[in-house]
Amino acid sequence: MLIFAILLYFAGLLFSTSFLLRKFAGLNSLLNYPFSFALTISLAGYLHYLSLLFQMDYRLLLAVPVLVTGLAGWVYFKDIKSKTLAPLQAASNFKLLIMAVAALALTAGFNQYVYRWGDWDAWAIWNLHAKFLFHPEYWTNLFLYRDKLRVTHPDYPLMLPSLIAFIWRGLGTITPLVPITIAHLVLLAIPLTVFLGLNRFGHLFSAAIALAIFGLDTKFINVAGSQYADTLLALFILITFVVYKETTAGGNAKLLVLLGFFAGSATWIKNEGQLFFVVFSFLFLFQNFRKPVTVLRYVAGALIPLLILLHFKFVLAPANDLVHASRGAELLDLIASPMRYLLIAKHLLLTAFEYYWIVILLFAIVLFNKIPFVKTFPFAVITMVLLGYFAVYLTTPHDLTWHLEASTDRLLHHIYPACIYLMLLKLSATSKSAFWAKWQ
Amino acid sequence: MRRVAVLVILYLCWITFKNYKKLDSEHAATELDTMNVLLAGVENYISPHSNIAFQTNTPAGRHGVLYFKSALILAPAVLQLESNADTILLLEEHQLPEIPKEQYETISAGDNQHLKYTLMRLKR
Repeated sequence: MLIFAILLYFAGLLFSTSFLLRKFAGLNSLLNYPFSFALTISLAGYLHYLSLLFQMDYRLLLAVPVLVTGLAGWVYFKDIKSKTLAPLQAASNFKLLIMAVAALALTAGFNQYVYRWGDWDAWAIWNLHAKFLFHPEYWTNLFLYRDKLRVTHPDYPLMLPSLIAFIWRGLGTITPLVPITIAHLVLLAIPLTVFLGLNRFGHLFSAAIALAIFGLDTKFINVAGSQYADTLLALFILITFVVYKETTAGGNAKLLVLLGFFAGSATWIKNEGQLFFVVFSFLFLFQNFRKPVTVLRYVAGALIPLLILLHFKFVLAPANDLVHASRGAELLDLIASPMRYLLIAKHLLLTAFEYYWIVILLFAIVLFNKIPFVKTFPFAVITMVLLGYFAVYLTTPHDLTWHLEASTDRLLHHIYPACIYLMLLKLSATSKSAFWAKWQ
Repeated sequence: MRRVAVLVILYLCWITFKNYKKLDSEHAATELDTMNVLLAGVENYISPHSNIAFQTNTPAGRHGVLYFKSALILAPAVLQLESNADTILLLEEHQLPEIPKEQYETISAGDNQHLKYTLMRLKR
């Protein structure tokens, strides 16, 4: 059992990423914490997957970040001694209290809902894939016999299973407490990231509102408690927008590498993350095509996640059931059916009104106050992602009603935290918003 | 205010610890855990590279649930829904009619309060 080595591994990665963000990207604000957290879990997932791919010994895998941490620690103390490293911002007592109360509310809701092994997809997909990755000699069985295992979707990306399996291997046992702990931490990370992202621009009131929204949202907590990969994807989509806002607000240009990395890492969580990455990258590159350095930095960050995904998709994974269902004329029939458009629109709207009405309310306030949100880059990304979801439903080879009922709420869950962050930021930042100012 | 924040964080850690302890106890066991106990030891009779067919006498609505839970327990051995494999994992509910097993020889069997399993292969 290597439990202490595992703890040291994560603590080391967290420290190293946090320090590197400070040193090379000048990120001394409180946002350093959620960025380091997201970097740590994604790097742990990638490293474990690569160790399986290259048949690397597990103890060696544990040793690499420990060595990196040692090196980072040595540079850190050198910088501290020579006073070249700006101090990391600390949260005030009041903000700390607000965050602690929100974490308590979220945990209380999570504790009420969560149970061993989670909901259907958690054991039928994510934990099942993790069980294969737990066995370094036989993990490729998932892909060697992919036709026989197609019902468990071996084409799904592996960040969550890889992370779970990595910790299971360290513990030497398969325990449901690992996926539960990951789900719990990811649940807490989202509201706190929104809080810190809004607080970064001095919008403490909106930041507190955001915490209240998430803390009281039982649907949000239940989806996180289900232990699906959807909440992890929601975190990475949110963080991508938070980093994007940092870069547009005069943040260090090196954060663009981080932007590319987080957007690219969304592809390694769920297939829907690939749609997000394509849309985000297309619009980002379109917006910046006259700035080659910006483009290069973004591409450099996205390169490693993208190469890992492409290798996985082309070498290991079977074809996706939605994309590769061989249909010709049938596809035209699906696209030409007006009833399908109506059914999808109705289902999306009803789900949005039932579970995500707060986003609609915030959007109505934005429109009511004539705040120019519709022409912004984030709005274009969210709209195109929604259109992409619409197109997937339109051409689905499955029964449409079943497909809609099985996934609409989770698809909207992916963009929900980002929408809350973006709209509260826009409302708070616009001086014209008399309505909002009144509440403050 | 800092003391209050620290107290809230400590309370948060306490309820988290309590909940995790509860989740780790026998009372929190789900069907997957009881099936895990039921199928414990099956891996001794199969190689990690085996392909095993899944059969059950349960109603159609339960097939998927039992298949995926068994697949998770038996992985990295491959449990398939198709019946074209030598070895078969049969899960049966006690009160439902049994599936005939004359053509098969039993490799391993066991039961619990709700389910009975038989790992079997075609007689040669």
